[in-house]
Amino acid sequence: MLLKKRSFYILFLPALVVLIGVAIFPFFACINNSLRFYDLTNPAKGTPYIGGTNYRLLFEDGRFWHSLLVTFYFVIFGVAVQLVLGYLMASLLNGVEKGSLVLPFFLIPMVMTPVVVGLTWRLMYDHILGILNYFIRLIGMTPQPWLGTESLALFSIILTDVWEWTPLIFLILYSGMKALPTEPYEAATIDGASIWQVLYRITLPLLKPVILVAILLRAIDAFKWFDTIYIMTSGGPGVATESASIYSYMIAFNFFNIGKGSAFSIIMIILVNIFCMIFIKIIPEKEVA
Amino acid sequence: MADLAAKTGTYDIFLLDGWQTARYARAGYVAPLDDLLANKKSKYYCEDFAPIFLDALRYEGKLWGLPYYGHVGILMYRKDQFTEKGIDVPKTTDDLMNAAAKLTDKANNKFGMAMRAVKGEDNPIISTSWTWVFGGQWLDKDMKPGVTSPEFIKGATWFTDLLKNYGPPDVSRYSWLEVQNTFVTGNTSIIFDASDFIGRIEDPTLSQIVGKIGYALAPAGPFGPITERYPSHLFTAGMAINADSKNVDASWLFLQWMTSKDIQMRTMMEGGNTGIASLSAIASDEYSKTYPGIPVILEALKLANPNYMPHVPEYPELCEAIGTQISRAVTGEITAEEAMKTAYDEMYKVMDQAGYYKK
Repeated sequence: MLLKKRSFYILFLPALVVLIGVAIFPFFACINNSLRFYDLTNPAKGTPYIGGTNYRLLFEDGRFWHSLLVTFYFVIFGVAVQLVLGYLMASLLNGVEKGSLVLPFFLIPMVMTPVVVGLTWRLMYDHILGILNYFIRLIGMTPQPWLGTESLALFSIILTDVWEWTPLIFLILYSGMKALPTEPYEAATIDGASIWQVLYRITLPLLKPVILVAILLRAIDAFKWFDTIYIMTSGGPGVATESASIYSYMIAFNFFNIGKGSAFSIIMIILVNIFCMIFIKIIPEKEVA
Repeated sequence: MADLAAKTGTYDIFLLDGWQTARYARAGYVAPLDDLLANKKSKYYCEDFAPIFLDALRYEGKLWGLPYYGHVGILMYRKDQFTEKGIDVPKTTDDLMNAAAKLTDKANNKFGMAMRAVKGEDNPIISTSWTWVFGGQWLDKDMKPGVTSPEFIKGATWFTDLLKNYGPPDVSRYSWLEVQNTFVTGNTSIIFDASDFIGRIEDPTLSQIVGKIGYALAPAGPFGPITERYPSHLFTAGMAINADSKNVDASWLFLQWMTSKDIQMRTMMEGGNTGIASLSAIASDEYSKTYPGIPVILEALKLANPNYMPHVPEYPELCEAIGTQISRAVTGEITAEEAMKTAYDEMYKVMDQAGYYKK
């Protein structure tokens, strides 16, 4: 090592201080709060320790489980569709010469402010005034209450997410494809491999680490997805689109029950961590390097 | 909220939601105004606040804020369509249902009635105005949830049926904005909502139906005439003083000035605030000339009752339980009765955890 031990610690210190400030201290404060009765609108009761009561109340709450289920729908279906679409778009553009010229247009949804995305889609989904139903009427089909029924609302919300975040997966895969070596493809062409063989035997295995990273990033994002849902449905109709982030936000900042809200976020941290650990195990280390 | 809880007193004055008065007053974050009102009244004080708005800001007999904004529920309908179809202004909830049925033409995207049914606070303020005129109440006298009483379920069924059958198909996500949109674009014939909607629906730059709007008091429910129970749809925003404020006298003076009749008139004329709280300002010529619905609003202000929803600190949680379930019932996915059973369980849990049922 070039650096001596002491200088290593000195150089490491700023990062450590920042990390303690923004991540480590809040994390332990959150654990601490989750074990207390802590209601901002009931200061007379103080903030006594109540053991695992906040956790027990959550586990007994059907809405808590439902919000986790909704979240998993988002993670599984949302990311799956985004992956397929992103992959198709990337390979399409990869085959075009000077394809990177149109690249910025693909990225517009991703760089839009989520609140603007939410408001725009909320209006587009409107039954009477919305542009989606306008086109549906034009081609003579029945207009749909996009955000008005429970099953359709879930679908519509995921559709918006797909629109917004497919570009990210596309971008990651596209750059991954650009970096692929050309020799295997030349060899495959000479050997007369079919398109499918090239896809399964060469492209996918070579792209695997990139794909896994893309999935990981998007899945973590989808897990804590809040902004557009809050704008479009705030979890409704009923609880159909109420994800874990929406419900925990409601507990902590509408009901001001900081104790229960903290317990909720601790559970979410644990779930995301389990997911990440499994996922990182799947990615073979030498391929990542 | 964080600032109030930290008791810094940084902000002297804040806006207080009438329905959350109980919550903030119990927490000790708001200063009661009764002493100030009795001893330190200034010339700015508006003597003719609509009494109902003051009542909405009372909790445990004390006044916690001065009304800055408020509204009650009135019926707004399309005069032209009523005449065309020979419909009289509804006098009972049954009349309203029939009128909505006659005005609905789903094939052409014309709907009879729209009200807010989105989950959250919007919906219970309206939907339980109606369950109330059916005789239902949020909490019974033992503070147990009253939402599974036959009267409440009848009211909730009426409300959800009306919207399910004669409202826009995605009405379960309608908030005030969507209700206004569907009305001013001529797609829905009747709305029951806040009296301050007049500002938007009578504005020719924002509304396509100016001159065609009729105003009426909401119809009576099975419980009795509207003099007894009126679907109030009440909301008030009050200006309140932080309990930790170090400048109470100055704050009190500002509060009176900000809610004075003069300033109310100015926010109305220059700022387009149609939810003003002074009776004489509402009745003023300037206001009446611009907005034809004023006599109805003044009448509704006398009839509305601030007790159709409970003034308890647990209001937000209870509100969420009822609102979410009514919204579900409006989608048609479950019946109003099933929805109210779920709401009962959630409300019971909230009240139980808050310690209401300990022996």
